[in-house]
Amino acid sequence: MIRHRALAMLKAVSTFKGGISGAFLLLLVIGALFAPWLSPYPYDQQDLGIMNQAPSLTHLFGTDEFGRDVLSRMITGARTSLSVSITAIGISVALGLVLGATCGYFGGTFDRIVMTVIDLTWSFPEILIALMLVAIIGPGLEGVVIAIAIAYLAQFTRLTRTQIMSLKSETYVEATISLGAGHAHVLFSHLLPNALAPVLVAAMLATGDAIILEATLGFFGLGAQPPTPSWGAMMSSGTAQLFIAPWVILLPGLAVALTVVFINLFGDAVIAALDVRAKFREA
Amino acid sequence: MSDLLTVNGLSRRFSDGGLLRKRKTFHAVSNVSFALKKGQILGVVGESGCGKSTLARLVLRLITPSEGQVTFDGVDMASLSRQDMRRLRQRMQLVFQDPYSAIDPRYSIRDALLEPFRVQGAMPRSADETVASLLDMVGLNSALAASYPHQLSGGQKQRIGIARALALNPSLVVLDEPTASLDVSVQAQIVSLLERLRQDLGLTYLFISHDLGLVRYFCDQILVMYLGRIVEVLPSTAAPKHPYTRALLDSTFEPDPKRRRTVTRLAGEIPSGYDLPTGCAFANRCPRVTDLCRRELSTLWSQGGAHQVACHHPLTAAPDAIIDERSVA
Amino acid sequence: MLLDLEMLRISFGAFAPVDQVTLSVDRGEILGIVGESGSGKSLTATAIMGLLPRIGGQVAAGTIRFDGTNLVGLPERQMRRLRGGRIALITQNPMTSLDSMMRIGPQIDQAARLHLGLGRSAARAKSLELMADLRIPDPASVYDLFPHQLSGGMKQRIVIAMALAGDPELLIADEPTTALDVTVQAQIVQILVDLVRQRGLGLILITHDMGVVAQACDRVAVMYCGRVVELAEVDALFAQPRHPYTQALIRCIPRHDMARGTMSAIPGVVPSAAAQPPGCRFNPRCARVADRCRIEIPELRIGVSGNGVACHVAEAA
Repeated sequence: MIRHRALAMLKAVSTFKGGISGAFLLLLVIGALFAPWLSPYPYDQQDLGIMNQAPSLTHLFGTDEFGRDVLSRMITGARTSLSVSITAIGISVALGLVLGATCGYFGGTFDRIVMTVIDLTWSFPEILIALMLVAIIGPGLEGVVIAIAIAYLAQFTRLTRTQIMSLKSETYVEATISLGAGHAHVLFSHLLPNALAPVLVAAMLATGDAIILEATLGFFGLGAQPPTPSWGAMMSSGTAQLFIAPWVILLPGLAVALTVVFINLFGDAVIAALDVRAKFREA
Repeated sequence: MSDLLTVNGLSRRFSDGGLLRKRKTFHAVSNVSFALKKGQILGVVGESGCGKSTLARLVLRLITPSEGQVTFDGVDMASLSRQDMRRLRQRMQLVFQDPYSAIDPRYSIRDALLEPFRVQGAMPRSADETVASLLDMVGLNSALAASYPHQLSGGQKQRIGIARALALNPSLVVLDEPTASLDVSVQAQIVSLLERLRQDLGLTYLFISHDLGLVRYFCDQILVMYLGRIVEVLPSTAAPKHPYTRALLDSTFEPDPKRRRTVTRLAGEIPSGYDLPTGCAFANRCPRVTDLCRRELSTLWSQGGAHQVACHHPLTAAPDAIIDERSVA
Repeated sequence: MLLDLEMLRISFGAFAPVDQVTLSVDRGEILGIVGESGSGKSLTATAIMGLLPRIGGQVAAGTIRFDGTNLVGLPERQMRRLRGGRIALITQNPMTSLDSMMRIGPQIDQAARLHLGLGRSAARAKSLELMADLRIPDPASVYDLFPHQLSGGMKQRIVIAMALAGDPELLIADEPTTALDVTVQAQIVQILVDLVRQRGLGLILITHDMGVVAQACDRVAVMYCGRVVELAEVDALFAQPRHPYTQALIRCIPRHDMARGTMSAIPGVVPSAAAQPPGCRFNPRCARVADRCRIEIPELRIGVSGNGVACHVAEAA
């Protein structure tokens, strides 16, 4: 099973689309992980003498209204954006798997209640749910993580539930039950592993959306609190200098856009690779 | 010999519909009783929708009956706790019709063969040896252990299905159309294998099939089902007395052009199990139908020995020859 | 002859899953093509229909002569006129051969309107007549139903009616009864046999079941791994099967007088197209294999009787 999934990943990376996007994402993750060592300047080092400077050799991406190095802030910001969205989606997927599997496998009243709640949240845009939650929890990274996680919970619960419900009728599930297997074995050895691939692909794509959501919340000043940089907060503070120092807002914006595009491209490549395996299986 | 399995008045209904649609009841299995002796092969034969697969699952308690009782080796299965039922499953196994989907595609053959032990919490000391001996038992090369289901042919997969079913040393094996999705040449391989295994391991089979020719060849005793009911119970060598059994027999083609048949007698198709007629369910297709058949359902009555038929007008001993010696050039 | 295949070779890239296939069907005749999955029987049908390019294959050698015209290399435009018209195909799965969004009647009408140029009402009248011929009860009301409202056996009759609507001279039925219940299977085979007798059609019946062959066919081509290993009149084939594979196939089917344990199976598996053994392709599974069989591929030799076998051992005997 692990071999299959690794094979699919390899296949995804070996395509042009998958290779390019995979390489970009890898660079981004490395940048985020080693931000303190890779940034040319400390992200919070102010120098009011070089306020709003255009990109130059000393400051590749220019400086902001406090004379801070934009490149350094973006590298550190990547750390915030990625860790927040990945953690949030991770929590969301984990909860969604548990809820979705329970609902899909056992059904009954619990399923009906959960699905009603899920359907309700489904009818609101994620940003609205996140804003409401941050308003309740209060601004700060923890609040944003929880807000994003809950905003995406409906999606993963639904997806898992549908997967489990269709897998439940597979002959091999009945075969396992007829061997004397209990619920735990059926769920953990057959249903969840088979349901996982599409959920993981959806999670990858949702991470892209979560980065935008995190940036939006940051833009509203609800995410990382100053001086901790995040792409959204940088764009927010950059609006004031839009015409003096457009790089302060444009470059983080570009970073968000590129990251999301490459995540989606990579997701596509993985989906294609997984499909190839499915076709091979049928043959 | 004692009875390994007794089934008494077993019925199963499924309902659907609900809020907006009229509630409909589907009679999958109605009032089925039989006994299966240790070491015997009992065939259950019928066409799609006759309830034979539901019967298999009722017997194994993969579905709970609406009415009736299943006794396995003296134990009423309804009386068992969930835990005890799970343990009892070791002794009664199922082989599936579709070997293509009966194995988790992510499992290697080795994993699939070890799963029965894992499920029962009784992993063998030497897993490799167990896998090799299981593969050997069903006539497969032990090198296949490392492969995945999609790399195997249908016949090979069905052998794996059989090996999995036999891993825990069951007494009863329910075979649900184990050859229906295979080529006839592969069917012969599987049937020979099942025969050998029964002799070697002293198994008892409940063999479910739509092919009366195959059932007559393979089984000791045959139940013929039509729309959820048993219409005839006959020793496999006996001439059929129910017109439906006769029709089934006439519909199986033997590999002998000298025994060509014209099968114009049985018109129509099987009615739906949703609205069963009050009388005999076969009445609308039966060449011997009378008013009595439409009004009243016949119970199973003895035709001498173990032979029973549920028909008001059973065929006489000499088969109504509908077999034409071929005259067409 | 209505249809004549000579030394047909079908290739997919480097593989030739069908090779040296020679067979023929006359009007009013039923030719059975029998073999296991992977024998190339369905591919042969696909080749006759000119549909190989759609699945990435091609006729690499040989001829397919239909009523004197070689179909190999025939322009697609002309092939399209034959397909569904003078040559019709009945596929294995009636469930997927019908358009679920379209009423039954218009689906049957199609071929008559397309190939015979009939108008709407003439096509409808013809379809109703066909349906009655196929013993479909109450054709006029079935005409207006959707496929999901019919049983499997009824759907298969509709598929047969669709095939007949273009007044074909050659009908190819690819496992037409595999998906059906036994009593329904018997009805469908009976219908096909009657059609051939009444209308003088040529019918190629593709099956893996020797029982169906014995029941319905006049002549039989037994295929194994893409080659015809035996070609014979049905009576001769069952009375004196000459190829060891034919013999084994016949013995695979339970007969009324067989005692339990006497049915014999063919050992081993059909080799894949990529792993064909040298020599006779059946030699690893053959009970009567000789040294020569492992080296030299036997050719199908057809005698004056029209019967023939591709086997070194059978020829020597």
